[in-house]
Amino acid sequence: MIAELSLRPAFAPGTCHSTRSMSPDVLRRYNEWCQLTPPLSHQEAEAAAALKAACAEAATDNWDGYGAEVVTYGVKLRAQEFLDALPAGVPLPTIAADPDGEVDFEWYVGPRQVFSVSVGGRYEVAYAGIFGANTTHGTEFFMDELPATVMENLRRLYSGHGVAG
Amino acid sequence: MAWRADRLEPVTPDEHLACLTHTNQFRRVEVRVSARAFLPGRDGTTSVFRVDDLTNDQIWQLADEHVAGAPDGRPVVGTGTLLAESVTEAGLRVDPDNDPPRHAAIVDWPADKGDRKLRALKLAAAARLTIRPGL
Repeated sequence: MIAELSLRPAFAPGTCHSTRSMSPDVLRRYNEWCQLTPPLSHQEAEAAAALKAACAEAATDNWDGYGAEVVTYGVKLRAQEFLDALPAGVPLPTIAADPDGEVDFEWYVGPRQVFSVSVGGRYEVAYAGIFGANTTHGTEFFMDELPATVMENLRRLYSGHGVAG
Repeated sequence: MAWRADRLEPVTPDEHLACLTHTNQFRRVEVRVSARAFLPGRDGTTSVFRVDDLTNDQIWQLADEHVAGAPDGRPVVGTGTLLAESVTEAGLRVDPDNDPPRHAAIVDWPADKGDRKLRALKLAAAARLTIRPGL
């Protein structure tokens, strides 16, 4: 189940995957699998494209000119798993690379209404938020289920702004 | 007190600092600097320039010469400007080194990533974005 979840976006129909190097048997199984998998929603496709762009921008060492670290394939997979774990109804975050090679998901409502989560290669996420005069930060274990603290902070950010909850 | 490039002067709270930004470090739609622009690099510091008494053109010139023109440098597409006191309020410190001229570093970042992110969010909330003309 976990493997299926992590593979779904990477092999989703509509994304660019070369089938030229696949053997006939693998190609048949791939096509069967594509039939079983629902197509990405518009938001999922948009998020996947944003993650792909963020990783591409940080694909080489020192991509910011200040010694920033590359976003590895492993981090990209973890970031995709984080995206997959977001429930429907959560607004699409801004996705970009951090200088330390992690992927940052940022939800911005206003200068003092912002919440941000960084996903690295480990089974944890670091988060921080400003909610008016209040602030929060911390680290949470993340395997394949969105940490409750992250969801609670998203609710806090968007309370009154239309997030289902 | 006029700024002197030929000597190190302590950073005053009302002094303006500019963080020179890469394309993924600001949001054009919301006209804001992202917290990512302030997160420390591999050396554990955030690079800024002391920009009081400089015109925008002079700031871009400084950026071209010392950031984009440095080995492995990248084009500077915008600045996030904030008061030095915002750095202090975030529990950080500005360490002027004048290398290159007008350069300083935001230091004393905590080891915990979540804590670093929060402080960077505070700096971003205090910063004003200027996008380079023509971009």
